[in-house]
This record gives sequence, C-alpha cells and structure tokens, in this order.
Amino acid sequence: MIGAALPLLLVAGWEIAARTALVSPRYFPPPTVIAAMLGRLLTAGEFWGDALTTLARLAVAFLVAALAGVPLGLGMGLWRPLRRALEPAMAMLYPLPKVALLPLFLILLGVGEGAFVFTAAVTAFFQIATSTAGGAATIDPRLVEAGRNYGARGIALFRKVILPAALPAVLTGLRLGLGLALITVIAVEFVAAKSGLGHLVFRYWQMLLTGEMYAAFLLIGLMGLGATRGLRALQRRALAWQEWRH
Amino acid sequence: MPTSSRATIGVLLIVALLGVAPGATPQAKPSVRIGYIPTDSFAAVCLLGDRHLPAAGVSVEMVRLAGGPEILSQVATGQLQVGAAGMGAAGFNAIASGLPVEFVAPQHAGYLADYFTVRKASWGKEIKRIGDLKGKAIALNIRGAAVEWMMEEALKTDGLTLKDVQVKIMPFPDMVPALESGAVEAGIVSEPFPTLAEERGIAVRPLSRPADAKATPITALFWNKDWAAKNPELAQTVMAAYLKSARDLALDNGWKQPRNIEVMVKYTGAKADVIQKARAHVLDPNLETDPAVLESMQKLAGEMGYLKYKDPLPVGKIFNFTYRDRAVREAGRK
Amino acid sequence: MIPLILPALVLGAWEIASATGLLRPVFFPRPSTIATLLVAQIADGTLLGQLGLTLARLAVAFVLAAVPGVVVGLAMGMSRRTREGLDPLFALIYPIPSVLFLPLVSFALRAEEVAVAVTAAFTSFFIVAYTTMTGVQQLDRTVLEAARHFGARGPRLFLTVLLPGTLPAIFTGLRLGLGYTLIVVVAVEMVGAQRGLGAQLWLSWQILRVEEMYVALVTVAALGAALTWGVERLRRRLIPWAQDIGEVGA
Repeated sequence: MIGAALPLLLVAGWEIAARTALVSPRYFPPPTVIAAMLGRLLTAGEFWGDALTTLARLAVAFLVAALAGVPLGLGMGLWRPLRRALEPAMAMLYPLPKVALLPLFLILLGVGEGAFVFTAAVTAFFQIATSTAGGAATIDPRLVEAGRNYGARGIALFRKVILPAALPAVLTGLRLGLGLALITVIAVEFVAAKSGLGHLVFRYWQMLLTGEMYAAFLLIGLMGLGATRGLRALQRRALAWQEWRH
Repeated sequence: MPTSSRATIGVLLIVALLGVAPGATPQAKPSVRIGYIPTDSFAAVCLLGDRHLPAAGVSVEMVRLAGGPEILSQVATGQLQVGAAGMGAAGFNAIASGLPVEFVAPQHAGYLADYFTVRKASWGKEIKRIGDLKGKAIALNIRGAAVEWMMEEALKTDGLTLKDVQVKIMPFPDMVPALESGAVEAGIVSEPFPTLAEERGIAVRPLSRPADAKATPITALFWNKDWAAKNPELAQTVMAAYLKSARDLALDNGWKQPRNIEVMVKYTGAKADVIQKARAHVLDPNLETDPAVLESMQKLAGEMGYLKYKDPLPVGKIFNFTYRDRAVREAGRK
Repeated sequence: MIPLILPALVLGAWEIASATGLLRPVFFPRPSTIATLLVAQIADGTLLGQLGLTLARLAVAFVLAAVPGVVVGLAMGMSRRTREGLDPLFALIYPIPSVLFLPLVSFALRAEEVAVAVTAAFTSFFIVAYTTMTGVQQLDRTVLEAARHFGARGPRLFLTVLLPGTLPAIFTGLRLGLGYTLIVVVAVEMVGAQRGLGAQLWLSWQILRVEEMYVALVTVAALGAALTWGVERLRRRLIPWAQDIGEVGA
C-alpha cells in the first residue's frame, strides 16, 4: 500500500504542524479536530439537507453537460470540418472563469436554480467536449483500417471500433467534468445561493469558523470522491480489456 | 441503463425544472421580490421582507445575491422589484446610464470610530496616529463606495489622501487574518468583524466618536422606477412597511433586541451572541439622510475615475424621497 | 473561413440586439463599443500592463502544475499501486474550489504572489496528471509487447515507446491544464488581487463600468485562445505523427 502512505504522511504532517503551532491552528485546525467536527455536524443532521441540495444541482448540471458534451466532442474529434468550425469558439470560451460570467448569467436567466445549474453545466461541458474530442482525434488509424478491412462501416464501425477506442478519454473527460461541475456548483452556492454546501461554507467563512469550514470541505471532497469512484467503476467495467497488468 | 437510475434521474430533472419554471398561477396577493446581501447591515431590508411587508398582506420572496452590482442589475432588469446596496459608483453609474432605478431611503449608516480598525501589534508603536499610515497597506472591502469615502475623510484629518496609502481590496472576513498576519495595518471593517478581531486580540478601534459626529450613510434602499410608477400604491405600502422596519431598529435599542437579532441570524447565518456584542449600526427613525455627504461621495468617485460621466448628477436625480416623505407624514415623525 | 463563421454570426446578432435594445446595452454593450474601448486601452498601455501581470502569474502557476502533473500522471499510468494510492487523495481535493483557500494560504505563505500561484496551480495539476495517466492507459499494448519482444526494457522502453506514445495525451493534458490555470489565475485575481485582468474584470463590475469588464473578458478569452493555438502548433512540430483521424464515412 505504498500509495496510501502519501496521504497519511500529509495528514500526519498537518496534524503535527497545527498542534505545535508551526502553522496557525486558528486557520489550519488539526485534521483530527476537523474530522470530529464533521462527525458532529453529520450526526446533528445539519449537513444533510444542504448536501442533498448540492447533489441534486450537481447531478442535473453534470447530466446536461455530458449529454451535450460527449456527442459534440465525438463529432469534433471525428469530423474535421466541425472541429475547425467550433474549435476557435471553444478555445475562446474555455478560459473564461464561469464564475466571472455569473453576473451576466444572472441577468439573462434571473437568480435561481437555472442560473446555478447552467453555470456548472457550461463549465463541465467544455471539459467533457474537449477531452472527448482529443480522445476521438487520436484514435489509432490502424484500428479503424482494421475494422474497415473486416467489413465494418458507419454505425457498426462507430460502435465496435471508434467508441471503444475513444472510451478512456471520454471517461477521463467525464470524471474531470464531474469534478469541475462540483467545484462550480460549490462556488456558485458560496456566492449567491441560500442553500447547499457551498452556502454552508460561506456562512462558516463569515463567522470565521475555520474548523467547521474545513469539515464542510471534507464533506464536499468525500462527495466528489464518491462520485468519481462511481465513474471509475464504470470505466473499469467498460475497459476491462485495457487493464494494465504488472 | 437500469430502471432505478433512470427513475432517479427523472426525479432529479423534475425537481430541477420545478425550480426553474416560472411561477405558474397568477397571485391574488401582490408580491414583491427583494434582493439582499447576507450581512447584518441589511437588517432593515430583512425585517421588511420577513415581518412588516407580509403583515401588510404582500407576499415576499427574499433573494440572496453576492453584492451591490448584482442587486442593482437585477432590480434594473425588473427581475427583482426592491433591493439595497452600498451608495457608490455602481449606483451613480447605473442611474447615469438611464437604468430605471431610484434610491428611495437610507438603509444603514456608520460612524468612522466603529469602522476604523488598526492592528493591535502596531497601534501605539509604528502607528501612533492616522498620519503614520502613510505608505502602509489598508483594507477596504470595495472601491467606489462609502467605505472608501470614510477612509479618505479619516486620512484627510491628518493630512493624507487615499493616494498616500496602499489600498488592498478584500471581503470583510478576510480582513481579520490579514490584520493578524500584518498583511494590512488598518482597515475600514464592518461589524461583526472588528468585534471578532478585538476579542481575539488582533486589532483595536482607537478612534472615539466626537459628540457632534454624524454617521456616514453607507447603504440605501432602491427599487425599480417603472414598477413603482405602475404600482404606486404597492410602492407606498413597501415604503410604509420599510419605515416600520427602520423604526424597529432605530428606536428602543432595536439593533440589540432579540426579536430583531433573530431575523438577522436567519438571513445572515451569523451567531446571535456575536451580533449582540458588536457595535450597532445606525439608522434614522425618520429615514433622513444627508444629501451633502452624497454629493461629496459622488465627487470623490469622480476624482478617482470611477464614474462613466463628467457632470455630477443632482441628488434629486439619484434619490426620490416622495414616498419616504409621505410615509413619515402618515405615520408621524419620531 | 469556416472557423470565422460562428463567431461572426454571434457577434453580428449581438450587435443588432444591443443596438435595438433587445439586449440592454448597459449590461450587454455593443461589440463595436467594446472593440473601440479595447483599442483605446491597448493604445494607452493600461491593458498590456494588466495582461503582462496575469501572464506572469499564469506562467509560474502553469509550471508548478505541469511538471509535477506529467510526472505523477506517468507514474499513475504505469503503476496500479501508485494510481490506487493517490487517486482517493486527489479525488478528495480536486472538487474543492481552491479560490476559497486564498486568504488562508496567503496567511501561511505570507508572500501574496506565491499564494496566488500555488492556489492557481492546484486544480490544473490534477487535470494534467489525469489526462497523462489516461494517455498511458490508452497506449496500444501490442506495440508495447512488440517492443518488449525486441528487447526493450526499463528506461529504453520508456523513452522509445512509452513517452512518444503518450505525448499526444500529455499535450492534450497540458492544453487543458493551461486553459484551466488561466481560469483559476483570473478567478484568484478577481478575489484577491489589485491588478491583473481578473482584478480589472471584478473592479469594473463593482462600479458598473460594464464595457471595461467586457474588455477584460475579451482579453482573457483571446489569451486563452492564443495559448491553445500555441500549444497546438508546438504539438504539430514535436509529434507530427499523431494525425487527426480525418473523416469517418459511412
């Protein structure tokens, strides 16, 4: 379990640094304190409602982004004219922090769930589409040739050769997109919502309760971990033939 | 895809769409959407939306936004009817741009002595007086607004201007660690953060309030001009309810009364005991405000290059006091 | 000509909508107005100053993210143990908006610019690492087995087969990582900086000088596009053999 050693080292290091006041425990409370606070807040039931709200927003935003991003990404990766038409626009829109665009989205969509979900969906969409396009564009041409030689055309070629070959990149894009969607939902909740984990983080920040704030972060991280783990399980099943054996 | 996850997704989509879909049935009751920022300086607007306007038979939706410009823009486009924000360049520019927004009453004011916060470690040593702030870093939460004007007035008392200091912009909560670490020497800090900083031994508020001191107007109530013109009675109802809210706070030590603090806690998430300990904001029970200060603020904003226009707007173009005057007349002066 | 059609259409529609008042010009000024202001700000040098500062922060943050990102990504791609060990930690940290840490990181690190760069590097590091890792996983195993048959091992296998094979994915990762570093640098500037494109963006919005906000937005978008284009040109020169697959016909 070499891999597990690193996180444990980091956590232990933080614990020591905070307890010996190497870093200010007021702004970097020891991990044990944070974990205890998370336990307390979870059992007190405070987090559940907000956690569910954040999850719901995340789910809708991610679904929208994936349903739009994967097909578009595949199209861009496989069909050069589409890629050339869209790529400049995508390249220009990708680097805009969507949180910077939030005031404009709010003007266009009004304050409410629509704007929150839309902002998160847009952020994830760009990631998913770009990753997918990259994956589809770098498929080994020999695979396609081989497929063609065996008589596959059109839809069959797509399903049996292209899609599986692009799948790792698609799934990586989805995983990154999920993380980005979660970040954006949290950021938007922090700024403008009355509910959700991001809003909770805002309240703790306003009260300078750093311990509780980190506990909320931990929960957000666990949520992200759970969601991406789910995707990875899917990836593993879908890519069984690509397992790297050592 | 297995049926259970399809169903879950379906439910989530429906939940999301319900949130997004516009209100379907027309209301019998008049309704108002009010924008606010979750800080206790917005107590008057919170009381308006939570207590007195519903009591007047109006249904209210309180909408939380991130800052003044967001509230201004939402009110200007009519997605909100009423809002409040800091008096400053954003408001001046909005009105000069012809947005249908009019300011109608003050929301809160403050005394410099309550806001001007200095690092405890520095006060009495490197910083003995305001003049010692020359070249040092000071914190403001926003440019182009009342807090900047307050800082300028404070600096002027000892021969300095804003150009003589290093202004760092950061939200109020960030000012506490910044004062502690020395990233800034002083700042214009709004409650409850100066109190929090004092309790932790990080900072002090060394200025005292002179007897004739006047509180600086900081935030103000505004609404959509076209909405008010089309619904003058509703607008007047809002103003009357707002006057009541202001008096709840301004009279009988209202800022510290538990029933008012309860509402503040509800909308800001701050702790009740912290609000109790903090110094109170200021609001006039007759909703009076000093136009001379407003003109001075506009002038400063112009000098700092924040305004989109050259000739100062007359106060009459910025503020419409007719509703306030009628409400005070009908309720009687206090 | 194709790449210009879509943006031209959108800008044209926007110009008309704003001029006729369909879109409120106060919040959505005409592209022509924005362009005029953009030119003016370039001419008097203010925009270039802001741009330079943002670029500098971007460069530092990107190096901080990219170098460890590629290294860790390769390691995770090649070794399952590494991947399974690091993945939980990464997945835990990745979804947290690093921008919120800025005041606290500044407190720990004292130097404001360092704090900005570190905060901005965080998320991009994960993006580069994950994309690189996927590149390794996507390698054609028959090529690797063939190379092994021919006696390639260890460092030789790495340099002659693994690395070249993964380069396309690494470049995708770097491209995405660069784009995302720009996003976070701008976001961090919005929250905690006095100068830079993000700071201009934020400040202009705070005083409702909306045209200037759009100038900053346009500059950020142009910067991002330029960087993407630059990386793509670099990719074509360094790994020209990674061809686009071209059309897939029925």
